[in-house]
Amino acid sequence: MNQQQILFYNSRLSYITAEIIKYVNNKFYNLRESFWPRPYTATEGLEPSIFKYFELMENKKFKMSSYHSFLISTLTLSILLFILKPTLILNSTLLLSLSLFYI
Amino acid sequence: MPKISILIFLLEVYTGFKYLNVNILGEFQYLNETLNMNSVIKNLLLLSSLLSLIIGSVVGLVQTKIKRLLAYSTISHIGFILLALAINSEQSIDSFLFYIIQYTITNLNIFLIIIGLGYIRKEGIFSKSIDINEINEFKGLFFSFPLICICFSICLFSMAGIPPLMGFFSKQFVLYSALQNGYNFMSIVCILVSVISASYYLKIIKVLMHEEAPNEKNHIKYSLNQTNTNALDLEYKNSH
Repeated sequence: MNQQQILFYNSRLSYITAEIIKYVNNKFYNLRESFWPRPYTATEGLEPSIFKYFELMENKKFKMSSYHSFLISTLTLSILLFILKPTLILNSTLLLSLSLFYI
Repeated sequence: MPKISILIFLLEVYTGFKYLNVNILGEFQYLNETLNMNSVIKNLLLLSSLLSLIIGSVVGLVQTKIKRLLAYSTISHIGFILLALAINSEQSIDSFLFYIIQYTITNLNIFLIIIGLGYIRKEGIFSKSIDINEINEFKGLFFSFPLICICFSICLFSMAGIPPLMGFFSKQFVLYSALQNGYNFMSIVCILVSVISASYYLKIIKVLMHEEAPNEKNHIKYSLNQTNTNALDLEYKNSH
């Protein structure tokens, strides 16, 4: 695939995406005005609204829940602070091993 | 989960084998005595352990995908677990169980963090997936999400066996029971393998803390994005 073909397919894909966004705007957010991103320029320091829109959608869909954070923090602390009270796990594994070894 | 269930099954079979043969399978006592099944199983477990340790650590060194690297690190850890199982003393069974618990906690946390990082990192419109596949995708994430990256680093340090984290003690118990029972060669192999596998865990941490520099790939991506939006704008103007 050459450069021209890539550009063509990219532009076609972008056009379809924009149409989908327009439809979603009208259907779910009651935004009647045209939803169209300005050309992306790095010097402006502003992201086009299309990017923000997709980020918003992604965040809505795949929000990292508080359960997720709680699990990560608990497991990390259990790894980190094992040294403070190791008897809890060690005694339980010892009991298990004794019960398994001497059936 | 299947790994742990298989390991527990192996433990049950291995520790209960002599009792089974003496009490229940009286007819197979002759077979047990002639073949010396216990030593056969022990040698098989030791061989599996040695191969797992070597393959897991050496092949893991050249991996660029994070999940594949974790799979090879699992093979390496299974080597430790099998060694503890092969020794078959009271102390080694204790270390075996402790290693499984420690490994479950750490691995679960690592996968949760990878999924979490995939969710929260900023992605543009052109990204196809939120999953993190390559190790390079961790580049510079520490500067964006320091807390979760610190958790990730702690888990990786624990996997590498750096004190005073949980992973260090599990490895220490296995090595201690191996040395107590005279498995000196296996202990040396375990220590070497632990050092080798520590290098690829540290490689991930290095990538995590690495500040992202503009490279050629990013430049191409950026220019493609720019041309894409320009073309998009032109097409929209033409259509309206």
